[in-house]
Order: sequence, then C-alpha cells, then structure tokens
Amino acid sequence: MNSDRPTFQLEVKAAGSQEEFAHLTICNGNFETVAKGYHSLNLQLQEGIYNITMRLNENVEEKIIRLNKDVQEILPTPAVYSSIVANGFESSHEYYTDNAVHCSHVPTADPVQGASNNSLFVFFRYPDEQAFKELHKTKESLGKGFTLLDPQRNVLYPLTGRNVTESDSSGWMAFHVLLPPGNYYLHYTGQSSDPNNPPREMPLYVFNGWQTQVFLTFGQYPLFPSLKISIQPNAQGFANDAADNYLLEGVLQKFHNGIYYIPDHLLEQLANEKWYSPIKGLLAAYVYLSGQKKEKDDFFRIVLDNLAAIFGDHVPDIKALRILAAQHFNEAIPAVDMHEPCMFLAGMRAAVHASAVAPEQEIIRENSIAEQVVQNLYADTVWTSYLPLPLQIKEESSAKARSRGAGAGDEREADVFPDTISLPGGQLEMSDMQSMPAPDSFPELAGGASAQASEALNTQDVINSWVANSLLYYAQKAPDKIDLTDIAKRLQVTPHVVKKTADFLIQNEDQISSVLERETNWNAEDIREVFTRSNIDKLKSIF
Amino acid sequence: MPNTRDYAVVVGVNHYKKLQLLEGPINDATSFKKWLVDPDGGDLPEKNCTLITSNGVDPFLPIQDTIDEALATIVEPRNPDGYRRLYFFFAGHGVGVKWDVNGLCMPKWSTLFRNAALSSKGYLDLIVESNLFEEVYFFLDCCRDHRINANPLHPTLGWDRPGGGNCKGLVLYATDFENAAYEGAVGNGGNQYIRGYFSQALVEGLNGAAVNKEGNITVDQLINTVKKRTEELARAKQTVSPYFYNMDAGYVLFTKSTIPETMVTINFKEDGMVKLQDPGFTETIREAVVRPGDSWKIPLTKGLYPITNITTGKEGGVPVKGDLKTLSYEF
Repeated sequence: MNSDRPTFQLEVKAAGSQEEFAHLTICNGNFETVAKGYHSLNLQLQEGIYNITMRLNENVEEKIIRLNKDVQEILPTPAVYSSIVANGFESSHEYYTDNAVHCSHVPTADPVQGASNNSLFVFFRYPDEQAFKELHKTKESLGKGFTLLDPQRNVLYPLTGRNVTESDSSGWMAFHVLLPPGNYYLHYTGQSSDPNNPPREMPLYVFNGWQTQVFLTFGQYPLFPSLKISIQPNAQGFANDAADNYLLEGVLQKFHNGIYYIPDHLLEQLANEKWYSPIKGLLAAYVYLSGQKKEKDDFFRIVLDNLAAIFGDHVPDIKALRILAAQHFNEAIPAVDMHEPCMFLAGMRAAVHASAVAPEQEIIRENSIAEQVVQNLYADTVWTSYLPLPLQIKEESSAKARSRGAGAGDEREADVFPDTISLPGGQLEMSDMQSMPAPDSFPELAGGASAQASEALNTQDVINSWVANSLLYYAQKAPDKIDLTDIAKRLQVTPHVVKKTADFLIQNEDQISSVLERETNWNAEDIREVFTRSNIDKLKSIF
Repeated sequence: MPNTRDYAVVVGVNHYKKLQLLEGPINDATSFKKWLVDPDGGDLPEKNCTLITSNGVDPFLPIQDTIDEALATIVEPRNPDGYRRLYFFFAGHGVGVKWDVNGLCMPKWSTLFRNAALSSKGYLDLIVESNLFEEVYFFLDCCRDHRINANPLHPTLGWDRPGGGNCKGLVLYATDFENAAYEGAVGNGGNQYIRGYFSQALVEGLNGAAVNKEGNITVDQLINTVKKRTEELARAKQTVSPYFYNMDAGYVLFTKSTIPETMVTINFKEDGMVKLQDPGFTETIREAVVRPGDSWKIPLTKGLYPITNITTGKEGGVPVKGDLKTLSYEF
C-alpha cells in the first residue's frame, strides 16, 4: 500500500451472546493479517479495502469493508446452542427454561438423611419439542439407564419413577435432591448393542451450601459432549437470566478445543467478587493452569487459595488443581491423596501424570475409585467420565431384594435376580444393571475396567485389556528401554495399574495360554501375537 | 536445479482392519507427492520422495516398520551434501493424545490394539533432535479427537540425538486438538474426487493460494491460507492448528517463479460507470460503462479488489483468494 494514503479509524466489534468469545481477524487487500483478537478491535489503518472474519464456535462470517472514512462495524454474533437452558441461547425454549427454573427450586426426590442446604439438580432435554417427537420413539423415561450413586458408588437413586419430574410432550426430565456434601456419581448403563451409546459414569461434587446443576441434551441417545455443569447458590437454584451462563458456555467451549482463553470480564470477576461462583473459579483456574502463559501466575495462586478456603482442600478438584498448579509453576508435586475422581478431566490427567512422575507419593491411591477409572477415561468432554465399573447395590437394598427370595423352591431364582430392586423413591430395573457390558461384549471399549475393579483380576478381562496388550507390546519391542514409570507415563495410567497387570500376566502365564487356545473371538489371532510366553518372560525381567 | 538435499515420506492410509474405510488419504498423499516433485513446487528429485499407501489387499499394511524403513533409507547412506528439508505427510485415521501428540493410525489400529499408531511427537522429536535436517515439516491430515486413552508408538529408529536446537520446524495439524478432521468431495462435474479438506487446502496453498504479492509463501501466509480454506471446505467444522519453532511468521518457505492467476468473471446487474482497482487503490485495472448482463473477464492474482459503480455509488470487493482457477462475481 502507498504510505502516503490517509489513515482512518476502523472499529470492529462483535455484539450478541458470547460476544467476548468471538474471534476477529482483519486482513488487508492482499489477504495479509493486520490484526486479530477477541470481541473488539480498534485500529488506525491506511485507506483501503479490508476483509473482516469473525469466528465463534463453528461459525465463520466474513465482511468486506472499504475504509475511506472512520468506520465502526458491529458484527452480530450467530446463534449459540447450549445444553444450559438459559435465556439467549438459541436452543433454550420457554417450555424447558421455565420447568428447569421451577424444578431447581423444588426437590423431585426424597432427601438423603442429614442433607439440608446442598443439592444436585439434573435437567435432561431434547433440542426442542420437534426433535423430541422425531427422536424419542420408545416413550421411555429420559432417565432410563441413569442412576445416582453415593460416594462409595452404591446405588442411591434411579433417575426414573417418582424420583423425577418429566414431561411426556416436550421432552424434558428433572431430578433434584438434597444431598450431604460429597462426591456422587451419575451412572449411565448405555446400550450394549449400540457402540455409539456406551455406558458412562461421571463424578459430580455437591458443595456445602451450593447446588450442582447438570444439563444434558439428548439426540438419539444422551449427547454427553453437550453436558454442562454449573454450581450456583442452593437457594438461588437455576438462574436462567444470569450472565454466568454465557460465560460458562463460552469458556468451556474454548477449553474443550484446547484454547485456554479467559475473557478479561471473568478475570475481573475473580478479582473483585469475594464469594464467586465455584464453577467460574474452578473453570478459570483449570483453563489458566492448563495453558502456557505465565503473566498471571501470582493472581492464580491467590485464586487457588481462595477456592481451597471456600470449598476445602478435601474436594477432589481442589486437590487436582494443586497438582496442576505445581506442574504449571514448575514446583514440587504436593502431597495430595486423590482417592476419588474430580469433575474436570484436566484434573484427572494432571493427577495421572503426577502419579507417574512421582510414584513414591502415591498421588492416586492404590485400588481407589480414582485409580480404577484412569485407564478407562473418555475424552470427548471437559468433564471426567469413564467406562464404569460394575454397579453395587446398597447392602440394605440388596438384602431386601434377596430376602424376598429366601422362601424356597422355584421362586428362589426369580427372587435372587429380581426384575426390580426397591430404592428410595423408585425402582432400579435389573435390566439396567445386567446391561453393564462384559468387556468382550464391548470390544471397542473394553479397557479392563472390571479387571481393575477388584483385587481379583480375571484372565479373560486381562486378555481384553489394552493395558496388558500395550505392556506386552513394549516388552516385545524394547524390553531394555522401559521401566514401570515410563510405561505408566506412556499409557497414562498409574504405575500401580501397570504393576498389577504385569504381576497378573507373570503369575497366570499358563492360564492365559490355555484361555487363548480356546479363544475364537474376533481378534483372537491378533491377541495371540502379543500374549506370547516369550513376551511374558520379558516382562519378568522388567518387573 | 532440484532440491537434492530435500526428502519426503508421504503416507496415505485408506484401509483399516477395524475402522471405517476412508476414501481421501491416498488421493491426498498422491496429490501432495505431486506437488513435492513439481519443479514449481517442492522440486524434490523423485527418488527423494517415498510414497507409502495402504492397498486394501493386505489389511495390515503399511506397518510402523514400513515408515521407519523409509526414514532409514533417507539417512543411510548419508547424503554427502547434507540435508536441508524433511517433509512428513500423513493422511488417515488419527487419535488425539495431547495437544502436541497425535496417534497416526496404522491399518491394524483398534481400541484394543492402540499401539498400532505412530506418535507424531515421537517422530518429530527424533527427526529434529537428530540435527540432520535444517528444516522439518509435518503435515498431518487426521482426526485428533479421542474418547479413550491412546498410546501411539515412538519410532524404532535409533539415531544419535544431539539436540536439534537449530532445526526449524513447522507442524500443521488438520484440526484442533480433541476435534475431528473431515474428507469430502471436491472439484466439480466429472472431476470430483474425495479429498481430506486440509490436504486439499494445503496443496492449493502451496500451489499458489498462499503466495503473497512478492511471489513468496511465508509461514504466516501458508498457515492463514490453509486455515481459512479448510474452514471453507469443511464448513467451519474444522480449524487447522499450527505449531512452528525456530522460524518467525515471515519466514519464506517457497518462492514461486510465477504468481498464479485466477480468471475472474464479473457479471453486472446494474447500469453505470464501473471502476475496478488493485487492492492498494494505486491503479485502475479497468473502467468502463456497463449494462445489466454485461461481464468482464479479467485474470487477477490474489487480492481483494475494490470495485465501484461510480454512477450509483455502489461499492464492493472482489475476493480473489488464489485457490481457484476461475471465479464468478456478481456486481
């Protein structure tokens, strides 16, 4: 361009929901980038022709500007879709929003004894009524297959029957229960016949004085990548008009795509609000500490301490953030005991990495729930979720169920395996539990979850375990170059999981050979190539 | 004079034992190789460029050893003139591990056989740290999402790895971490074929769409062009993710002997005196009275060309992105 040309001001601004997350790029007439940034750009540029691109989530819009005077260009942001049924999202509808607000204030299930001012609110919905009519053919409850588990993973509530409030005309379901603070688990059985709808479980922490809110959209099946978690004051319930909803959606969307962006607006809130929303604080801390930037290290040390002061150091996500912070700040890994999974996947990954780097610290406690899930994590959402371990039934419930069959004779079998088990507020269908897959019925997902579910490993499960498979591969390829922590790091599991699997392979060599001789399933030939006696012998020299 | 110190390993895998058949990767790899050996492209001697593709006959091929052997062949025997560039191209299924680690799936890959994937970082580190090459380019057209832990393989090659502190590197992933990369039909009429959107955009960029007004393709220009074009082809479902080091954004990757032109047809809908100018407003390319239905055919190089109907005051811009041979614009 001719440098003699006059200059003018070009102000470009995104306007609308999630405007802070709209990424703007200005290119000159040669399609060379002259400026880029979020939300708004204000530049003094030479007279000329410019191309403006606005990107927001999956939307890209372009506009050509002739700059021959000062120009202010407002670009409306495109419609945003979210599982959160808040005002301003294209996918929110009154028939969802109003019911979500109402149900977040009125528990749908009987409270757990001792619970007072802390609760869990779960809201399932379709994109809209039309989608519900087209996609929901079975007329079954949206909660079918979902169960809430207590901190010990005992079944607490099936999300069906009178535990929930549900619409059979517009496609939504709400579950709201008062719970003591702690880590709970949302368990989903999935459908063994559909690889797109596998089982899944995720931890949900209920904080003292807060309501944990879960929003999930359904398509042909639950769309877990769409799941959003918010945490709001218990008395407030779901606030459909809170600006936090857009902020949360925007930061989560970026975080999920590996973009560690925190709008200034959120930073200001963290700095100025004494009692900020837990989810905003947690999310901002995860985003910042996951990124490479360093300029706000001191600020986030304070944020982390504030979060710990508000929620307590015992909360799994606070422990995970302490680990992540140590990694970000290049400091020694703190002595934390992760025995439960945290809500954010980034936290679990940090803990797994730390457990391999510092095996002597036992960051993830051996045989704990946290350790049992690390080899089966799903990664399609920012939240921790995993191929679940088998369900357990509370002793009193199980006992009740079994006692019904204590009569005798032909009824015994039916009673030992009853169709339903009575639980608070509803019944858990045994079909839900029986649909938990054996690893070989879910070959694409079998990661040995059940192999690690108890101390007693099962030969068939270990043969179907990718950890065992990988271990033997490394033994075959590079027996002198690997060690326990190296393999744990490569496999992203704890050293103890590697050790336990290796010990089993070494101690059960004969049994494995015998099982493989009989094996005729889809990948038997491939498995036999790996599970050889010579590979297992190599393991002996490593472990 | 060909770039005899430049080498390439180009991999395209359509066929997988357990995963969905892809239709684009072999086309992508072939097309990229074509650019590599083109004297106005990468200008590599044919023998310096190894193309490895799946064949659908043996469901297990290629395997890691095939790729490792191709790399070994490059460095043994050593080129007495030394090495300048290594291009590593992969199109096929992929699985994300971390933001800088991707599994490049071999045909045997399944969730159980997670080893049957190459670690993008493992290979990049090996090549960079060998100090053999001045510049390393990785172009990876594969998915980066995953639902489960993945475990890609490090190379079986064992070179000396003194550090690689001076090696320049550019890695272009077809998509952001945790996201999918797509393929689809490109071209038109009888000339339609399936391509990975990223690979298509990459070759278009290298063939001219990324050329700046000086005839150079810089790091920045290549990234921006490929990013933008991939988004267009994939309808914004896919965002190219770049990573480069030891080179700044203005580093010149290639200099084209000629700046490619697009034949632009401007179709007029209104009467008036129309003026078409160059992107810098420094010269008038054409100025004439037009009537509805008239059209101008003008060859234009890449740029955003201001067009003005002086009679009515209507203004516009003709966007010539350099990725098409012909373009129609309504004014």
